[in-house]
Amino acid sequence: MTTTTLDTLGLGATATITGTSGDDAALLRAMGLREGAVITVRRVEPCIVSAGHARVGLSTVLTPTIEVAVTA
Amino acid sequence: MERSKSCGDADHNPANMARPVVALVGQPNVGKTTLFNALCGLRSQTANIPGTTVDARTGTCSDARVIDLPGTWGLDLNQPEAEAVRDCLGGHRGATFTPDVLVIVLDAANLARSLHLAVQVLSSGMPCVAALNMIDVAQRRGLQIDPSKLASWLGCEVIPTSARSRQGVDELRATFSRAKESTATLPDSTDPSGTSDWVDGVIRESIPTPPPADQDRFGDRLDAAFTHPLLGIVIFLAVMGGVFWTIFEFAGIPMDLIELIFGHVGGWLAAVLPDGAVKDLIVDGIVGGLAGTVVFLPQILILFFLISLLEDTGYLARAAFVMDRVLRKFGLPGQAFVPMLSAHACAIPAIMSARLVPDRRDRLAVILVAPFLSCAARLPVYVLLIGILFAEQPVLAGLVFVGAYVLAIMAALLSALLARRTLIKGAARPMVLELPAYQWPSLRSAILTCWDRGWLFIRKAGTVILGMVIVLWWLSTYPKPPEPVQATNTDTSIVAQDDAAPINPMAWSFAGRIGQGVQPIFEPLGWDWQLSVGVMTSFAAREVFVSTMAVLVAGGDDTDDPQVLKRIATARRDDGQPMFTAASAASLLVFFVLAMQCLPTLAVTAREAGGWKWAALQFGWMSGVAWFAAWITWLIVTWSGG
Repeated sequence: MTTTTLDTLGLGATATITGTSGDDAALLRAMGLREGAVITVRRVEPCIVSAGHARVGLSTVLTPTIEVAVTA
Repeated sequence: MERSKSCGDADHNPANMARPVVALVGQPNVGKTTLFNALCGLRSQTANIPGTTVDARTGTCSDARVIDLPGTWGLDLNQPEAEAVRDCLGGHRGATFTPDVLVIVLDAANLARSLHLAVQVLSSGMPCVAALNMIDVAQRRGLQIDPSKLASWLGCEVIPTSARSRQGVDELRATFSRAKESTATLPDSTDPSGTSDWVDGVIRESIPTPPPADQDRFGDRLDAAFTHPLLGIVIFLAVMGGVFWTIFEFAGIPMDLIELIFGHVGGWLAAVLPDGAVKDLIVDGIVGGLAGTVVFLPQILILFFLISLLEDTGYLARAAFVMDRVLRKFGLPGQAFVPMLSAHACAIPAIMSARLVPDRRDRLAVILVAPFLSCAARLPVYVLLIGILFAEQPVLAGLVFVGAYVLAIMAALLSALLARRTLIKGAARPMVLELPAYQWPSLRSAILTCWDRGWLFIRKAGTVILGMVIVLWWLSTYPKPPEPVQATNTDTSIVAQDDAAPINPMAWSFAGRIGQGVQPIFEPLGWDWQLSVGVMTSFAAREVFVSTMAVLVAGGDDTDDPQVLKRIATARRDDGQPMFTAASAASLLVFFVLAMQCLPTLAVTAREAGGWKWAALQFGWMSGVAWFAAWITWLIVTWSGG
């Protein structure tokens, strides 16, 4: 399992969040993008991920602050 | 938690005060407001939470007073909404906003995420019940939730609800009187990993069958189109074009009707009241002022109705996401596109719709620059001045018309950029937005939103606007010029007045005198005193300029008469020179594109931005920019031989 950041993932990739950093880390966690959450990349540019049945759109400023472990 | 009910109470009705205060707490997009509407319907209003910049809706149902607290992702976040909810739960925002019972609104389709906020709310030690909302959506997705298991983990009653279809709403209402403090053993809400473990346990037991993966292929395809960098913008422009076409197509008839009704009321009052100052005040000041305010209502209602429908479908979140990349360069968030587009119809609903922007600094920037954009009221002035400048050159006239719009947009965006780098410093909050599932909009919610926004406009802005319009009417009406007197053989002292030119009432009024007094300020722009008076009176509303000029230089106020417009275009100064040269008309056009000349807009800015200092700043900045740009224009056109 390789660890990287969300901005490097391609369309359809599934990964588990291993950490969030930056000023908006608390907000991201509260929105469901917390450690252990499994996410799927639904769109790369602009970035849309699904976590469970929720879909979250993220500014490209934020995607490098989300560390993930790629699972598929 | 120390709680007091001493201040900031907005509801003094004794019958209502006896009812318990129930607050709805939840994350955004969990159907909290729909649940509030199902509980209270029209018996509600929007109110500012005292001491904050955040609004909440308050209402009554048969059993309780209900507050729809702003949606927040977590109570521990450093955001205005989270702070307001924390304060209300702590009893620091007055009796109206101090709840006796909390309804935790959970999203049944995204339960795990909702539970993190639920832990924080349950830990407050207040009586709670939980509404497991959007249960129908969860069931359609194959999620089977056991409410009794969930209730034992939360330590409070759990009522499955679907606010859109009113399912479970009555059962929820019945729990208000028996709500109790949570009896569960809760994790420490400040320990993220402990809370996550607890949430995992709740999900395992409450949803015994693992939920199926998100298979919304239709949603994927719509997202691919709506958030595409190019196609997304084209779709967005088409949708907003449709919105404004609808506003222009359908607002015209009720607006004409409002003007007709007020015209008849004014005419009837003019006929029955005796001549004098009181009649002038009632007919021209109050009825005229009310007509000028209420006439905006159809535009406001239609705009908010359509915005509510778009928001409900889930499209608006996608559009904000697409526009974010464009507007972010100017320090504005993606959500700013709705107010900025609305401002091309009228700045008043535009400023009111800035409430869609979640961050206060972002919202403030939008409010301050939205009136730069060319609203419909500027059109008559554009038509007059461009007609003077390019009477025989329709293509050039069209280009200048487009140029006026482009100039306004550039002024708004650059002003926003400047504001975000100086006055409202701080990086714009990076966009992170939940994209709600696509669904059919709720007509009921749209109608209730219309009602709420319309009433807010009438109740708050209407009173202030009316007062200001009456003051401006007084300034432009009084003092009245002396009546011309017929000379007689026995009164030789007034014979001289027989030969004097008739005094123009507008020029004689306080506003006219102020216009003449400030004429030196406008002289560098190439304007004489008559143009200065026209500009001064148009600070009430831009379209007044044309009628003022008609009265001042054309001897009539029928601005639909081509002869009157022609007389304005060919009017001369006191020294015999043409009033409108290419340079003076161009500088006047640029001034009207950029200047803040709308008292109602200033009143709404003060209300929405949270103080008159923002309205004063807006007025000062826009007037300064307008004067400077008009001066540069006059210099350039004069030097180029215009």
